[in-house]
Amino acid sequence: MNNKFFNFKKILLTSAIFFSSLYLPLNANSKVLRIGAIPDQNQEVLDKRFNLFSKELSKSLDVKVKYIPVINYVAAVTGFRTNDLDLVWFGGLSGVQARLQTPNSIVIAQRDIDKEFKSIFIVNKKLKLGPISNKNELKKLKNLRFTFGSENSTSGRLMPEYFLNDAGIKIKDFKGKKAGFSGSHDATIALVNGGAYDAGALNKQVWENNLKNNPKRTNNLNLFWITPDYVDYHWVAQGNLDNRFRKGFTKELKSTILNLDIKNIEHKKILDMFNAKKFIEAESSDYKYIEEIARKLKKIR
Amino acid sequence: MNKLKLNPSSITFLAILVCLPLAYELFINFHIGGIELFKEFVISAFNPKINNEIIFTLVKRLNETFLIAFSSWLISIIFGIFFGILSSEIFYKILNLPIFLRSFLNLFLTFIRSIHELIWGLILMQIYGINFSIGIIAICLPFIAINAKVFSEQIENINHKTIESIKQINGTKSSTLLTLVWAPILKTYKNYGLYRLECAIRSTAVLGLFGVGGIGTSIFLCFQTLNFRELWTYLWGLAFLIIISKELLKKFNLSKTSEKFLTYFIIALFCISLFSLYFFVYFIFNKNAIPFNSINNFLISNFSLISYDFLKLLLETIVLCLLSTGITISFPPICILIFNNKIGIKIIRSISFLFRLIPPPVLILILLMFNDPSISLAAITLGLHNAAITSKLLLVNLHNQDNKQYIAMKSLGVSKRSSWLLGSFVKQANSYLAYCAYRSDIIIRETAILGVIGSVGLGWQLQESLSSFAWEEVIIILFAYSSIAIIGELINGKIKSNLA
Amino acid sequence: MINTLLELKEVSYVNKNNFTLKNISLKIKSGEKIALLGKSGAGKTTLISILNGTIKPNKGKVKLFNTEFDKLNLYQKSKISTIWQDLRLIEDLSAEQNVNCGLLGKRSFLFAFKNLLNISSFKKAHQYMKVCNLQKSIFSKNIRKISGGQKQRVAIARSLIQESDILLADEPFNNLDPKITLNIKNLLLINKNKIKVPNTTLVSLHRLDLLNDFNRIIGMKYGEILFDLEKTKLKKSHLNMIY
Repeated sequence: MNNKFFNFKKILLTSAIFFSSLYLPLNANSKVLRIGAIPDQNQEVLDKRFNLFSKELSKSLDVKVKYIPVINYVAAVTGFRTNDLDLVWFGGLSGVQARLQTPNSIVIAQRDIDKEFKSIFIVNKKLKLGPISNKNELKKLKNLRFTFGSENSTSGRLMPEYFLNDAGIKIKDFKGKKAGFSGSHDATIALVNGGAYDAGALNKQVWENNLKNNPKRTNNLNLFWITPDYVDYHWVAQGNLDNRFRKGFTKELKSTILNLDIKNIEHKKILDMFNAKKFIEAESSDYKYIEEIARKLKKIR
Repeated sequence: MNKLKLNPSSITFLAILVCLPLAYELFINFHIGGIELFKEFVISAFNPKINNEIIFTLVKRLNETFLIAFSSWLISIIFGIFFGILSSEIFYKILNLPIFLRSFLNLFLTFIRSIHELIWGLILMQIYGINFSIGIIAICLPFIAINAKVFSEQIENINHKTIESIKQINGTKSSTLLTLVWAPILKTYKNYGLYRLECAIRSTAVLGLFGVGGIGTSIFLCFQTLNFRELWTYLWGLAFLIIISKELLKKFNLSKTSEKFLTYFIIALFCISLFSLYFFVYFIFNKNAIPFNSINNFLISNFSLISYDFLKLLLETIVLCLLSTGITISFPPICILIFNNKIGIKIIRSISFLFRLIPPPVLILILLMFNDPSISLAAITLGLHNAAITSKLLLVNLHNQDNKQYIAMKSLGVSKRSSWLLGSFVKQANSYLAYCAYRSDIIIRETAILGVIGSVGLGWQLQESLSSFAWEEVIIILFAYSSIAIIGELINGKIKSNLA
Repeated sequence: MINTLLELKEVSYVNKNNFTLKNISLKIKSGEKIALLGKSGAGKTTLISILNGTIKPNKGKVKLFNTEFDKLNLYQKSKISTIWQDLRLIEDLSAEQNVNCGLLGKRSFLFAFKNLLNISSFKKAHQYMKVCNLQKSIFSKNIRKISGGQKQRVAIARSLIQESDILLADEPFNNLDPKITLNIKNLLLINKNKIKVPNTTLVSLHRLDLLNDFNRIIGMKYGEILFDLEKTKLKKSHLNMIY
């Protein structure tokens, strides 16, 4: 009889032990540089990208680096505020939100492509709306069902909404007096392509990726408008890293990221994962107008 | 004409009426624009992505998921029983305590139940930061409250005459209480507690884990980027985990165990509950709460949110809940009634397993391939997901009950369907409805994560407020959620007392 | 006065269904064996519920050991045991566990816990169950799975194991065959076994052929006591009054 339940007993015991070891707070060791990122990519991409990046940082800075996955934008911003993440790859909006909530935080770098980031508007083919050149023509989207991507996405929500407002369209002007949130750029493509929504807005990069790799998914779509440039993703670090690790640590960190070189094979792997040629300097002032827009749209209060 | 008499069975079938407006709206919004994507989704189910790397990740994630699910299941059962006893009438009768304490506790538990574990996680995170244990606590909180309700309801069913007779023996109050509640608790644990593990696993899968990942994050991210093949790898992995854990627990039968093992088990259980209690207390008092200034904001904020729009969202949420509860109640018995043969039941089983497995956000995206976003669509998504859960319980209970009456009916020459209805289902109708009643609580919670994509109800506003870090709005919305749940509870109670 | 164990003083009771007990006064003295006669619905069960304190009367006083019920402590209360007409055993537990429940008044919380886990000692329970003519084979069976007569005897064993001073039995011979009925009656009234059996007994019955070992007979009709006399004074006319 006892033998039959031996397994269960064992499982119970091991789980109890595991359990207690897991309860130890994750941040017990303050000498570990914890990096995080907003979850806007596939799991595989995220894991690979940030594990490679961690390894490189660890090598050149000689500290332990740990990638801590977070479940959504809100969690990423909060994790940064609560000091559980030291260095986070934020989007434009989430970065601004995080920096406002976390005094002394520092903008470290952005990618070359983040300086001139673009969103696009797409429409379903059955509407027979051709591409427009002037943003005022966005008015044609009135009374259609419209979807953004994720609520906190800069390219999938904030900037598109800003340009819509600029053209005189409020969210209330869409069908149902509301816009949908598909949750992601890919979902926006799928939903507009399928016809559940008439139009949507998303990251231009994702759109181009889909055109290349998944032409089937974009069959029923027309490109409607490409937005002007704006700044997006950036690395943000805590302000107390020098105290925690050593003098000048933040500087070293910054130069390590900026010196990632596409000619170096190891570095190229990382940069490829980020879809970038290199990282460039960024200032918090670059993101001032993102903050203004976010305040106008009540994403920052 | 005879007046239609309301009883549990007729209510069960009446609920199908919600399908009329629903079917109408779904029908006029129907389109097939997304057929390609749907095809891709279905084909991926049979062709999940398999390579060394993904299998490695999968195993790792499943491990984490199981650990969290198992520990939160155990904690939520133990504390669920504890609070179940505390919130049952017997407790107050035997210990001679004022009954208003009970209503107070029940109100509190309803509040906890009505908030989704994901929201609990985010709120706790605001105070305690990224921490692995938040995942466990976030799942535990609503689960403890749900379990407490289930257990207390079963304890309420103890015959009051038995209570009197045991009271008459005049043992100490604690032993009287224990002796009385033991049997129903054990029975509920067997019928329901084991099944909660599946819920815990599924919930962990939706939640993702704060700071660790877990399979939830993987599923969410695959779904977000529409990587269906990977998505199915993780979903099948999850299915595997659910089935394995169920088989494992089935082997463990409390009544047939040896003395020695039972003592070990009780000691282990005791240690775990003590440990987790200690941990909760430690966690609350020792981890420096991070200054969270929005309480102040809340006090000075103007209640601009309580406006026409807000009321509309509230109404939408209520309609959404009602519609999906209707589907949840009526679909399973009707399906079983129509396909009442061995193959039919098997098909229902596997379909309902699939609907349970696929998280509602994925389900609604797939349904959106054929329909425009509307309340009806959100309702049918939630309804189908929850009907899959209630149908499982109904089937299990039907299987466990003795079918003498069914056989007797059939031997009278009554058709198979009628004899199933009158001989088998009628006996289950009462407990089935009772179960659906607390399923409706869960539906209210789930509108929080579903409203977004279909852009209906309070869920949309909640996500928007959360992502703008507008805590005063979040608090108001959460109160709205719990007031819906509390009103629902009152109505439930009224219906129940009318039926009795 | 000293050996009056239970006393009802002008007790009246009305329940929801308008069933009433009217103005009942009764003294039960130590050592008495009382038979309570009456048709179904005469108020026997209600009277027993009042005697053991389950029901509080609307009017009048109930005293045990010359103290009112509300003021008794658990130990004193445990001096009364009851065999209910509808048995009131805990289904889902085994027969021996049910019998052990009778010991709750004397043992600690730990005992209750161990009993439910099925790891307590059943020695005493088995002793009582044997005395009640229960075979070994049913000791560990679930209550749901044994017959009505067996359940009856389990209920009797549960009340005897309490080792109380007063036993109130509500039709304890239901479901029992004639031979066992006689055995049980002898057990309750003229105990020749080694076990302790309450000295004072009140048994409600239907069957007049079982009256011989009682020394006091009470007849009830419509919630009133019609007669209350020694067994030797019972006449046919009395019985005609109540049936």
